[in-house]
Amino acid sequence: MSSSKLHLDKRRRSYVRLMGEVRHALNQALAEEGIKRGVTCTSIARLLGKHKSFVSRKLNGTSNMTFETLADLAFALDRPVKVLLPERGDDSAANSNHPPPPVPETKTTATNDGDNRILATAI
Amino acid sequence: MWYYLCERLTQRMPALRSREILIWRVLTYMATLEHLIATGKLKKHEPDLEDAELPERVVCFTPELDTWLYDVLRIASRDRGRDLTPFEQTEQIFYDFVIGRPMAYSIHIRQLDPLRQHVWELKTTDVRILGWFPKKAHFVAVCGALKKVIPRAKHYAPLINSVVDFRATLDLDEPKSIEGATLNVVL
Repeated sequence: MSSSKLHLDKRRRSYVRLMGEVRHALNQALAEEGIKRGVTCTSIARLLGKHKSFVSRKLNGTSNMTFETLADLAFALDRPVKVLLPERGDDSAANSNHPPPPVPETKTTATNDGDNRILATAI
Repeated sequence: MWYYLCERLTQRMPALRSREILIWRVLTYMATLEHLIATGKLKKHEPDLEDAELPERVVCFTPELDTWLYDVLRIASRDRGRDLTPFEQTEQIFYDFVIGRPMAYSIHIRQLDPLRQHVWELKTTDVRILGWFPKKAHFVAVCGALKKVIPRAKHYAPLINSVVDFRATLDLDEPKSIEGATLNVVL
């Protein structure tokens, strides 16, 4: 069979997946809160005192993400940020578009850590 | 279907011998997507998944797209303010697609005008990948371009044409494309 892989260095792939995870989680949370409470990019922007385009750029990847922005967006969505680093092969690493299995309340909330990049998140 | 027709023909016209029927079947053979992958006309994309992740959708590339991804996109530089390079964005959207993540219409994916051509694009911040859906949750990616190269709708025409032309060269079962402009039809 003829197949193709887009090879990314394993270390870099870890970062690419993280950014994908973060944006997926934020967009998913926005969609859910939109249905539940009518939250929109505009209402988030108003709450944060930013322009609507700031929020949409962060959500669609046009602009890079920082810990501080993630925490702000989570705050506006009224959701806590939790960090998971499951062992490889752990079921919690399964397709993240499906509801994750329940996890014990452990650490960690996002920090207002200026320019630091996100380490790992799940909302 | 072919087998059924052959059986009916043989019953009704005994003069038609099995050899003629066999030749007729071979001459009218229509390939499946799997056959095109097996013969190298398409390459199935296999993203790196974690052990517990399972593919829920399929992406295939043309060999030309595969070459473009490596020769052109791989060396495209990251624009200011971006987390990821165009190549990384593309790798990630293919991964998202394959593991079955929700795709938002016009943000991650959309059907292109003219709609009757049934050409779709996968979108990242900086990259557009054009192709079509031969069946539900199966995307054949034919060509790609950096967004800055095709800033307006009129620049899409050559790319849309290359999807249509490539599709026309394939002896895929009809209909070759899923028809419909909504996401739940194709995903």
